[in-house]
Amino acid sequence: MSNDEELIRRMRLELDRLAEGVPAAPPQKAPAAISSPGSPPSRRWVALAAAAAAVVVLVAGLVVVAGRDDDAAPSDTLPAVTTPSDTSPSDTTPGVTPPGSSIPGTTEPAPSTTIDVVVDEPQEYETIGTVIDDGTGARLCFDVLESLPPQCGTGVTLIDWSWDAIDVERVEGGTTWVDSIYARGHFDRQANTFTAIEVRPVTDDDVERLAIGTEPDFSVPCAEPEGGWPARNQEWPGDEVSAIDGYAGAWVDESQQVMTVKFVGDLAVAETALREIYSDAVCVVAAEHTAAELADIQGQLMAISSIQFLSIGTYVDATGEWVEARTFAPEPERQAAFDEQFGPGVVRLVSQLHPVS
Amino acid sequence: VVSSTLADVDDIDDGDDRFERYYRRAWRDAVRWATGLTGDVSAGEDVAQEAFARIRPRFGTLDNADGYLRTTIVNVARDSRRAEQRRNVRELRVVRPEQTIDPGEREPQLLTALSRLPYDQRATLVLRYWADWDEASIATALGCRPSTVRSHSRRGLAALRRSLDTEVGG
Repeated sequence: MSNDEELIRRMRLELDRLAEGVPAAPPQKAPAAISSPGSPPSRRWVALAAAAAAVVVLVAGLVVVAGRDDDAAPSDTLPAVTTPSDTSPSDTTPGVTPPGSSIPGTTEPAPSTTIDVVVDEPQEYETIGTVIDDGTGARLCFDVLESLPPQCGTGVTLIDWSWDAIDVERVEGGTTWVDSIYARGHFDRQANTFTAIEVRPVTDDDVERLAIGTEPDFSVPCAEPEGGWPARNQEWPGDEVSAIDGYAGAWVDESQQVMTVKFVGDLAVAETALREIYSDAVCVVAAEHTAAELADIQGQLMAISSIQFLSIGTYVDATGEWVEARTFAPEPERQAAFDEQFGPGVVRLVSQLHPVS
Repeated sequence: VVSSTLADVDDIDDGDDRFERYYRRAWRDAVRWATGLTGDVSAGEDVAQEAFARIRPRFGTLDNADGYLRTTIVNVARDSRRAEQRRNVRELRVVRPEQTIDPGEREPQLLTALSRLPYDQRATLVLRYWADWDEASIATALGCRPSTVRSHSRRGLAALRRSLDTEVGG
């Protein structure tokens, strides 16, 4: 057993002992509701729900209907159209006049009820993931519980999966898995399934090309003083610093010497408060969003029921402050809605599956 | 989203009754996690109660109530720990308890060392290696990337070992 494993075993044992004191049953009644600090007003929720609902309409169909007047009837009164699964790109909807044609016997253009129908090809996606089959079917997993055998945290069900193409899989306790593979194929949003066209070992190029999200810039945005930054001696009083009014976030540079702290509001006041509790090298810079604002936005995203996020995090670096949410597939319409709701770039949606161009 | 020991509540009626049932079924896990995060059963119960109180008004709109509960517990426990730290700082000025080591039996110094870690490292170790949360759940609850969770894990274990070695070595 390694040192880490032994330490973890001892820690688990102590925490188990500690938790022996947890009562088996809760108090008789659940607690009354309280609002968390910074809870959004209900009107904001209504607006967000409306935006989300509109987005669902926009992204749910794979058929794009063009040339329709703004005053035209809602989509449920439009002529029925077929889906990509049974329609080739050149097909048009039965009963709908193709573009450029006219009514026989006249020279007039087609009436305004004529619409163009463009059908998307099924989009291919590529990604890196772990395939795990615990006996209930193979899943392409993007977050894995590192037990033995591993368990799938979040992932998609693989359709028509075969282990025949994989020669490095492991089997333990009825579970078959392969730690990391490249997969290209089709994603079904509704069913949360993935049909692989190609699977192979991961290359360095894959890792670079399929990286998710923006790597934070933890450089020091202040000029280095003459003679260099002083050595760091004091422990960072993180809790106290984060309690200073307007606090947005902080990080230490690569040399572990300089703490950069971002605040919203009067920087001189913030720096004075900071200097009272920390005397080593600091770089104080302006932020647009406080940590509390970002946490509130994170909470709002978590409460949205119409989209499944794989993870949601808040980030503060030399370039800005934002909330990053990982989705299965790209969500450009939702991104636009979030930009409008929270401000451009405050919420950044990143996708686990990358469209193949 | 993740493997969970919390009960499925899809088949439960709407409204307060639905929340009451969820509360009763999820309560013990919630208190266990909060106890691990705070290092104290009573504090764990308080944290769990506050977390349930916070999610109650939103419960009807939550698709992932388990995930929301997890994040709320981690955040409430963080706030609770800050208040506790301030109190401990005042107490340590007048009381310095002796460290006793009993390697054959219990290891209270291990929990003490765990409690001294930065909160994100402590939470990562407790939730990952004891509560068996996956990386994504921990990342979401802490508001960081999964890679940062791995970093907290490495650093937390190293710091815990250093702390224990220091105490054993005197």
